[in-house]
Amino acid sequence: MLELKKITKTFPGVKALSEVSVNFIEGEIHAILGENGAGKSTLMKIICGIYQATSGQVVLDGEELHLHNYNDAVKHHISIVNQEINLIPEASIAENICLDKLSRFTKAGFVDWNKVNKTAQKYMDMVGLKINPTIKVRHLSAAHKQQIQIAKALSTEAKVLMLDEPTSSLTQYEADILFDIMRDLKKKGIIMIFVSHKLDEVMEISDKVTVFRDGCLVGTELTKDIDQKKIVRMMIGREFNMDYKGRLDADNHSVAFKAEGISSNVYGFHDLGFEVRKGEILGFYGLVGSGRTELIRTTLGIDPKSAGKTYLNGEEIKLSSFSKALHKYRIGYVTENRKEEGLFLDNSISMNVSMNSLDKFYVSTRIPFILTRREKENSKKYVDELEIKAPKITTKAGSLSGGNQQKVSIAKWLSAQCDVIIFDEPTVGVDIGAKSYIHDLIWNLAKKQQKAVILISSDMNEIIALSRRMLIFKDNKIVAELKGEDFFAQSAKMISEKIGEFFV
Amino acid sequence: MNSKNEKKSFRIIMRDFFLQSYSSSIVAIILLVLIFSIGTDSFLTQYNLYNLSRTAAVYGFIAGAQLMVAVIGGMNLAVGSVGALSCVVLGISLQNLGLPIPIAIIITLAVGAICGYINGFLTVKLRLSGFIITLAMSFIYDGIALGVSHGYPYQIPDAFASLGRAKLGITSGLFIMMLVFVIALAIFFKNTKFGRDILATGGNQQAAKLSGIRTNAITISCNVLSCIIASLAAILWCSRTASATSSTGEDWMLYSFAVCAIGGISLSGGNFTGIGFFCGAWILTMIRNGLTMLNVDVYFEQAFLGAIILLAVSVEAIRTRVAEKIK
Amino acid sequence: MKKKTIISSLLIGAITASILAGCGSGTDSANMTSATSSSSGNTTTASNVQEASSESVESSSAATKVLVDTKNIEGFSYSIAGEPSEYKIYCYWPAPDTFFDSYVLEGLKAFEEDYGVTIDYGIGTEWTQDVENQMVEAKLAEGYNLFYIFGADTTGANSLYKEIYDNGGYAINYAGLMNDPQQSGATLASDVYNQAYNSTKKLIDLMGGKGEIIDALENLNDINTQKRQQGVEDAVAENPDVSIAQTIGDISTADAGYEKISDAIAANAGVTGVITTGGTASIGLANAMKDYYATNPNAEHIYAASMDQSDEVMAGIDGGYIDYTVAQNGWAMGYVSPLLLCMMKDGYTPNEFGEFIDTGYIFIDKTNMDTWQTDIEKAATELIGKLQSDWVTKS
Repeated sequence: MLELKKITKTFPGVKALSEVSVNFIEGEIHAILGENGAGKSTLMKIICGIYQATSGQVVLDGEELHLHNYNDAVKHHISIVNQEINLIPEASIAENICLDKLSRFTKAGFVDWNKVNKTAQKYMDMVGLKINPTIKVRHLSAAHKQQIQIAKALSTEAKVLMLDEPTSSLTQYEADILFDIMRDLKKKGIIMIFVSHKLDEVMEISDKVTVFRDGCLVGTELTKDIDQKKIVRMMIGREFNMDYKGRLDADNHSVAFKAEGISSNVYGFHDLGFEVRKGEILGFYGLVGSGRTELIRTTLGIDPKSAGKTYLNGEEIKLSSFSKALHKYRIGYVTENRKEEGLFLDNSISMNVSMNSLDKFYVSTRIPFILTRREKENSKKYVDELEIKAPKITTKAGSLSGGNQQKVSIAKWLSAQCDVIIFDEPTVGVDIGAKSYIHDLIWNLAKKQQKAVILISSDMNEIIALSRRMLIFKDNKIVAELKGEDFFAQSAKMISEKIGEFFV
Repeated sequence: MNSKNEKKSFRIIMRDFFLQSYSSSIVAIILLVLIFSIGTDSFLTQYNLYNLSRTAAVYGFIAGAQLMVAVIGGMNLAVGSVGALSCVVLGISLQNLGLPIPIAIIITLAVGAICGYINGFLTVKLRLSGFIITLAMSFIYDGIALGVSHGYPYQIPDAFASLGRAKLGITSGLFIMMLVFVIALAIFFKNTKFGRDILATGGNQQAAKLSGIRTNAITISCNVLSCIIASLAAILWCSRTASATSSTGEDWMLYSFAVCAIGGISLSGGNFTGIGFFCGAWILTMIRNGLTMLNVDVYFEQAFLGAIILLAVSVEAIRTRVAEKIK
Repeated sequence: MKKKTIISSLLIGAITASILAGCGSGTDSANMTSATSSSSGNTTTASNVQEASSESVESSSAATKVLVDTKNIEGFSYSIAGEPSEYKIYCYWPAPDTFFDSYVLEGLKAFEEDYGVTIDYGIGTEWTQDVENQMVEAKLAEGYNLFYIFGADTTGANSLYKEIYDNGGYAINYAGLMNDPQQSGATLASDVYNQAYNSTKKLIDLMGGKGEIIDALENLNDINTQKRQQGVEDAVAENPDVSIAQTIGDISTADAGYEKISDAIAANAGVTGVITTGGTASIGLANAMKDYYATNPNAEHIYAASMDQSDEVMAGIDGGYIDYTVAQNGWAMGYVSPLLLCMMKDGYTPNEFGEFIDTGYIFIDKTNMDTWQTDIEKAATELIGKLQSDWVTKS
């Protein structure tokens, strides 16, 4: 049994955890939940020795642990599987699994690879991985890599196995395989600690749920005794509602942006088109790779298009580069990959927010000299408006939580005062509180400010809640258009059944 | 009560100071001045300071050339070669063609710009790293410089040389130029859209593209600016040494990186601190000057050079810890 | 988009063309420069190219020819035995260098003219033994059999010389000393220790037998640098009133020389002499001294002794900020080496295989800065006069 007794952790100026006590028992999958910044990762890092608790005790099987680093944790058979894949792509599977103990397989300076492969195979069997251990990791899928990470963690003879959002890069099918492995390991009496944002998963796989909020433990419950709504209430202190938001009534508004005959040789789609009205939220629904993001990127000139016309307020415009789309026509695009494409992680929040609207801070239109005072005021305004939680506007964007990063990414486009805004998966990897906030924000942009909004999402509930007209993408084609205020006023269940028909 | 407040505010000032990345360079400079002025009386003489300020100024420009590509995460291995070519072009313009000084300067800078354009254009169009392109081009520029001059020096008119010798009070005209250059850079990166776009491109090229920045154009521009500054450095070097030869710039590449690195300019791009950059040029110059001043055994000089550079950069490692302690 | 690409390509083409054009015109001028400095022995290049009329250049070079008649030398009787085309001579210098261009090459050309033999010569792209081996071996394969080479590496070049002999050729090493055991027939070079020693003595004389000296050295890994340092220190040790204020080193570029010498002068107030014993450091010295007087109007004179006849140094002698320079006899190296090779082919053998033939040196100062070329050629003539008596024997 792993017991945490009154763990407190303070960082300069912040109390990340206060007096947290919780027990993890063998043969249980114990889920830890909480919004970003609630203290989950701090707790995990304390258990595996990366952080040291300011006060309190970590007790494993009756013995108090004093861990100074991750290696100490491994010695006590505590392992962690990170959300990111930390494997050496150019090394073989076996080499990756046995990397930290290669010395055990070495004779007179030479590695006995047969032995390494055999040992690796043993742990690969435990996670049901039926591949040749000599294959290079580079060639494998994300799911396989995740399985190798678990095998690697198990190879330390782990008693405690922590899984930090292990499914974030997996498909549903792959996640199911992972869950089977977890159930299997549970039978072997391993203590499993599971962190996830996905409530469905937590309900499916875990035995116990512990919820954190603002560094405090809210409660521990048996999974079978609670439901999702209760968990959400515990996490954010109120009920989360992603239901129908109301009517937009934008059918009679003028068309703000129109694209027709868009073709791409790069992505291989032909003659696609769409239009979006002022005050409307147009949904693009489809799976990843179905052509929805690709259509937008091609239309806006981010990726090259082989044919197609675009119109802004009825006038034809040429979108040869995204620079034009933004600066000349005020079309904004909130990317789905905020870390890679949306933010300058090493730069301040302020700089990120102002990035697309620097001309607003010029002394005058004739003197293109940026007044930093105006820039700061502007950034401050959006930070306040979007309730971005950060110590200062000079804080680096990379140090914010996922939800706040997404808000910064959105603030950038709001600051640029775009008339047409495209949101690509705006709530992926964002905690529930921020998700709800972003939904309200998108709704208000259309409803109150009469902006033309396109919402790309693979989360059906999100689209149903916000958009009142949607295009369904499948295999690089638009297979259907669903519209009508009345249609979207039906229950979410009926709508999703209707949509589901197109995917059968 | 009053005194307590003052004390506190002093602590806060100290903490804020140590939180800045450039503070380590300032501390390093203070350390070096202490070491050298205790070690030798000649270090703080007016003549030496004047000489130092001139050398540091030229190093500032040399490093400026590297900086312009470092901020977009690139590198320019042709800094020295462009310098050499510029010296030769300047020499030809002044000596063989007998052109007036301003026109010779403009021609030289134009050649620098062309070199930079070629570097940038090839980097963008061939989609190769700047490392490879500028390495290859550096041989070409060096080769042209040597081929044209055959290694012979060109004579520089006295009027031109007087620019490099100008004394302004206790300091030199070159130093004032460097000061203006650094301040201009700071304003450029802080207060102009172009400068911001450059930093953004260095910070995250993909995100910059999606912020409507034409990153290819930025890459080319930075290469052009880099080589123009290298040309400028060559012009100043010629005016300082009063001769123009193709051998100028042989060791610039290393120094340009060293100044940037010592000054806390990230070579992966995205940031710029004027003070750090300024200090970087001074630290390197002072170390080289100071070692001669201290009259250390020549055969061990390199070992001392390494040790002092290590000392100077290790201040950076201590900085953050100091900042944390002053709470 | 396409249009842009085309325009850009055109632009690059234009740029390349303009650079090449500049290249052409520049070459002319640079050649002119070298011609001026080498044949007339004139000092400054820049102003003189414009000021000096072409007439004076011609007359001075004509004068050189008349003064030294290398064909009729007392005590020397040799003319090549076979057809000139049988003597396939190749000369190698490891990297582009003005010393080769101005002096060695002039001697080489004079030999070609005097004996009607064509000499092929090559200059390496990089000062490494590897490049040298590749170029020389290619020539060996082409059928060349007489080589005079400046060994890039004091040890490594020996195996190249051995290879030449193994292939039935003859090799002479020139301009620098090789480590023992010698593998070339003979070495034609200056005695670097002697030069440094005598140069220092001359400097001490100028200083009136007392004072402090700064000794600026080049690459410290080079055996020649160490010999030069020894020469300077030995000469200083003989004079109790003279001391070395500071030794600076590791000067591999003219710029580094300029900076270090400037720093050393600032550090040692009251020094009265500076000596450089390498050509690169001397360019730095010339620039540093020029700058020193220009920025210190009231400065006391510092005696400056340098090495080689680079344009910077010669301008310094003319301008009074360099007192004298030591001129190695590159002309003799360029002329006598092929002569010896031809003799070796015609049956002469060195009295001692691998013997060191000192090509000597002269001092150039303000008094002989217009006539030193003649002195150098005279010295070469004297050397040739002693070849048959002192260095080689017909077998």
